[in-house]
Amino acid sequence: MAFSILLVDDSKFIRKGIAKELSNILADKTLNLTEAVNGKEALEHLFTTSFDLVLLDLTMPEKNGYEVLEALKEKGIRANIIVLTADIQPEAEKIVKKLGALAYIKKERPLNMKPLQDILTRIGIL
Amino acid sequence: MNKMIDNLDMLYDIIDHVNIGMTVLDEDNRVVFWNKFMAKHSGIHSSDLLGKNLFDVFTYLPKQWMELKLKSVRLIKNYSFVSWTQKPYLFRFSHTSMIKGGGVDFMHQDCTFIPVSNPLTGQIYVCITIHNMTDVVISQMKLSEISDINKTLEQITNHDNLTSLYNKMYIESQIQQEFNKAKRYGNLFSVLFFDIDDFKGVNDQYGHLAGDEVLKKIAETMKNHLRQSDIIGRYGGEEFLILLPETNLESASMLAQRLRTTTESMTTQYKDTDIKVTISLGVVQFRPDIKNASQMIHEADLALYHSKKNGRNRVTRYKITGCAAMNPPAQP
Amino acid sequence: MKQVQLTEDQYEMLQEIVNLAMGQAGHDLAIILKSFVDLSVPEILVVEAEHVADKILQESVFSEKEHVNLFRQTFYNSAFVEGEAIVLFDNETRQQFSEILGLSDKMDAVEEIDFMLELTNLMVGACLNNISTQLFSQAMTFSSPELLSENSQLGNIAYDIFKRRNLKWDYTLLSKITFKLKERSFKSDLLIFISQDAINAVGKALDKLLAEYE
Repeated sequence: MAFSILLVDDSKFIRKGIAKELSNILADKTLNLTEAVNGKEALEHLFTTSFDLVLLDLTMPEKNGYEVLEALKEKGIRANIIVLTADIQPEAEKIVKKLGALAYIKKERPLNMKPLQDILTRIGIL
Repeated sequence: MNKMIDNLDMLYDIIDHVNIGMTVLDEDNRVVFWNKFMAKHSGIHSSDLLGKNLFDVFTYLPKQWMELKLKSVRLIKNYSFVSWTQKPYLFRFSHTSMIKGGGVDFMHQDCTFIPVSNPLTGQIYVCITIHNMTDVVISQMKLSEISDINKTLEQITNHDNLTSLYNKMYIESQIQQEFNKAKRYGNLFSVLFFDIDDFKGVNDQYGHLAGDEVLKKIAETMKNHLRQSDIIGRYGGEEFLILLPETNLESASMLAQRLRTTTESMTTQYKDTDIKVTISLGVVQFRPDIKNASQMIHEADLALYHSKKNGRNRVTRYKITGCAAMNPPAQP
Repeated sequence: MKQVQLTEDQYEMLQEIVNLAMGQAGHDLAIILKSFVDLSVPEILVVEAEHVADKILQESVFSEKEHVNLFRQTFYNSAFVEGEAIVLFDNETRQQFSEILGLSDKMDAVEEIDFMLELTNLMVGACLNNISTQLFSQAMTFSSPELLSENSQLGNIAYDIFKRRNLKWDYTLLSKITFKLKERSFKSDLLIFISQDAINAVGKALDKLLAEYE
């Protein structure tokens, strides 16, 4: 069965980069990738579909990542959400985890996928 | 072979002779370096200071403010500044300025806070450098004394001392008033912005007193072309603003042309020289879509800028377009 | 009027770069202010000199009527990228500093200005160093920050400060980043003006990064 992933980020290069990396890391699975460019789109997907994995940016137009997490929590929707963000202030990780995210990864240049691999291993996807 | 000096004694010698104060604090703000400048001006030798917390020794320092600054520098790993214009001095050092001038109690200082990483311990130290700015301060104070008196006079009279025209504040407020009236009642008015082409060249060639005469002559000449209800003010060094009530763009542009040609044929006499100048102008008429008087002045300024960019000694009318293209200047 | 434009891809890449830089500045602000910083998507666009004042009034988090304080700091690096940054704080924000920092004594006006200079240095330093490192693998050099204008309505001073003759370029690459605190009254705009001559260098650096995605 295909492994469904929702990529939420307003940058097409980030989406491209992550998609490529994920297909490398999860090479043994058939991946079904959906992309959302902002929080509003992300919620439209998440309210109607369930995904095996969600990668969520925080700073986006039309509802940011924090607002997405809050909306999901309010509706009681659970999802495997990994936050991947440029918002690296000390409190960010604590807050997103409180709001239900499974994990928090800082965006770096160049894109470092090791933290993502570790997390996927930890939660049993890898 | 090019090799940097790495002899420590030599480096210390250089640091001690440079006329800049230098002290380094460790992560607990204890002094780990104190150069000769600091020792000389504070009267405290480094041997009596090393290892002690800076604020324990100099109890007058603004501890709260400085600790915040030091913390910020260490965390952010970027340097920070304090100019004497913000805080006259950190350390109370007496100044040894030769210029007799009162009003400066202690040495005025520009300070820089520089984060320095200790490679052995990984700790981030902060190097504070002190620049003696006292001489600069004293001469600036003298200049500003004169300028303050002028400013007060101008505030009382609304007039510019040199040209006897209205000053910037007054003409801006008049334009604002006219603008408010127009917003409410729809009356037509225009604003004309002009400045003297290459005025700096006039000052450089003939001297500032000659330049002043030119300004006075221009002010006088312009006034002769204006009606009683028109208001002309000196906006800046060689910039002038004219408020033209009950005047549409066409009439304002024609007036602008007249002012331009008059200036072109005008001569200012200074001592034995005849000085000729030209002016560039920008014109704008009130439109309901303009937000405020500042925007209107800005548009007149853009039109003026266009005149300057296109050869000077000309008039440009402001027009809204996608880009900076405006009405071709009405030229003879 | 000829104008250098960035391609859509270059814009997107630049957006990501400025995002990361904003994250760094947000991080540093969060530490100094001991508060959670509300970040939002930066605005990036090429603007003609004539329209800069209007653009700022349009994009700023502050309305024209608000009383603001403006600070300025210039930057450059050896890749010939140069420009200046302008930081705006409103009066309400500056009155909150003592409370935000948990100081026992309330700051006086001079201390408020000094703190805003400090914050300017922090925000501009963090952002531009980060951008310079990402694009050119080197740090930026900065002038010391200075106060441009105090306690004036934005609608009035925007036209004064950004008057055409003050601007050394015909057009600029403008980035606007707004910082707010979630729990406190704090609002600030960081405006970055990269000079016209530097836009080419920036474009080339962006192309290098874009090539990684080919």
